[in-house]
Amino acid sequence: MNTKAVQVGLGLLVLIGVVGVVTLFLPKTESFRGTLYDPALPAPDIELTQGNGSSFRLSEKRGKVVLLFFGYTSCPDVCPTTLSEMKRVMAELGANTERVQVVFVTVDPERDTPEKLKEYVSIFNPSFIGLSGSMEALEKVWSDYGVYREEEELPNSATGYLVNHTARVYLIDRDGNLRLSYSYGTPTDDFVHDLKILFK
Amino acid sequence: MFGKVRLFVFAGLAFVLAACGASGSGELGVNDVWARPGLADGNSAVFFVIDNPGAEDFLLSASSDVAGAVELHKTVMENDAMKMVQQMNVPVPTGETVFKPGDLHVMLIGLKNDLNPGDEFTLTLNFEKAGKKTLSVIVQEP
Repeated sequence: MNTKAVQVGLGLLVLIGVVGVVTLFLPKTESFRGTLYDPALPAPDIELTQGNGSSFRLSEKRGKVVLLFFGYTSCPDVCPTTLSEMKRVMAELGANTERVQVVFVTVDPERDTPEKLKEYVSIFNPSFIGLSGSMEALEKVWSDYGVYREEEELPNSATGYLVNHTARVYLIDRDGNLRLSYSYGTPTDDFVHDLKILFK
Repeated sequence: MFGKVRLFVFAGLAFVLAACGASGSGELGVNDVWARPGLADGNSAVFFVIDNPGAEDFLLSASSDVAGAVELHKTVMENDAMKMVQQMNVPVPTGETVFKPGDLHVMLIGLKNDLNPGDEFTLTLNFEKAGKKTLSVIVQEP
């Protein structure tokens, strides 16, 4: 009886020791600052038109990390703020810039032609891709990514109408999985931090 | 007894200082004025800091030659979605009122020409009490 208790005790001690040593040698998982999709979901494919008139498929961007967000060129505040932030993120990535693709999908196809989008996103960075398409194709993308988007008439405004829309940035990893998302106003450092983890 | 007198003097002094602050010895000023780059026919926004040493004022409107229309707007975030709300006027209480990205801004609608970093143009703000303030706006990236 006594011997058995000692054996069990010793066994437990050995087990604790083994677990401790294994834990020490396991690679430390750094935590992301963005909101994690756990588990990561295969990113719904996107098929739209880019500035030169050619078709764009998200699935063809495997191997790159895609930073995806939604907006429109008449948007005076939130969209250019996010685009400027993406520009700063790219500048801070240095050599890893080549491994990131920023994609801007319109929520206002009536006013945003693919050419206009290309011109607009190029102000910030010529590598950014702006996408438009038919209402049907866009509605599928908005719905797949859970993007809320609503036109609002402003009777006293020269804008005619504005488009209220989701202002999150979605991160799709190199394997085509939707991994993280970021709320509007996330600091540049948080993006750079998470991208560096993904590039390790 | 002496302590009481000192307290009274301090209180009096504090009152005089407070009164000076509220009576508006200085003039309303607008600083750190900048606009985002933008494309012809597109939109842009102007941001600045209003410093109002006097009593509450109101910004009623803004005007500029660079755009077809100039309006006062405020960006509001509701559950991750952005929404813009046109402002018929903007209260300018004593102290600082900041027009900044993601918040209050003067919206330039239908730009006549491209606005490139380094460009300058004038914008006039029309206040209820302080009257018209003409500002020099520098185009720059945030």
